[in-house]
Amino acid sequence: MFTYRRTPYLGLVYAAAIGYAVTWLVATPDRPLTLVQQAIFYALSYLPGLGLAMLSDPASHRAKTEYLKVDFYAPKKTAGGD
Amino acid sequence: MQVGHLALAGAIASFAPEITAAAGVPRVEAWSAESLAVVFLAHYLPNFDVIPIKLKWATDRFHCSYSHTLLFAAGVGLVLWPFNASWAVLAFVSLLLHFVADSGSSVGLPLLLPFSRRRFSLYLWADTGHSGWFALRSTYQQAWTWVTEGAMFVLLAARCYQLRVWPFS
Repeated sequence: MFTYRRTPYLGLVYAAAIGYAVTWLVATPDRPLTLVQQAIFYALSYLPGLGLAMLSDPASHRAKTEYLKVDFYAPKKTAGGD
Repeated sequence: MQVGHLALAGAIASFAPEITAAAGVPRVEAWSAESLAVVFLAHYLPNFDVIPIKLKWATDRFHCSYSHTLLFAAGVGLVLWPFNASWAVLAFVSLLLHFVADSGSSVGLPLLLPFSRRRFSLYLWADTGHSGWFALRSTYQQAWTWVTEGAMFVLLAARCYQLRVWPFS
């Protein structure tokens, strides 16, 4: 899934940035996030963070290029030949 | 988009009061049984085109065809309107956002069918089929699916915080 070993770790860096940005955007001063709630935001931010990290990973690009060559909706050939 | 539809539908249902108020129809509460049922059903409705394919009533190309058109969204809205205007508005918005969520797929959406066969796509990820383990696995080998679908889950968490829903209550 990854060419570089750094990709999942880079995802953590992006997740931290996304998590910080989102909590900064949504949290209100009268209702600060608890540690558990912040952890939930950071954990969920890992999903798009990993995606951003995968953008610089050749494996993701290669997979997309290979799949684009295939027509997954082409009619399937039957044993009868028709 | 695959699993991300789940989070997106949840996020749409959280905006039910704002959507119904903006349309000037009776208010529907956020995450009420009514809003959840209407939004989830409408949001997943376009993907029910897999059912006739599985039953061999249609070919694979039927996926992302007539069920992913503006005419279909308008039709569902118009059918629901006489029964419940709020449901019609919520269903229409849910369907439009389903199309937006799918716009990154290389399969393209024929939004203007039957007037035009042109398919609209942002080509963010390659489509690898309508169902099955391979389609799921290969979709998540691609970067933009993680970015877009992950963002939907972050949005859903933000809405949980804003609406004081567990675990943000």
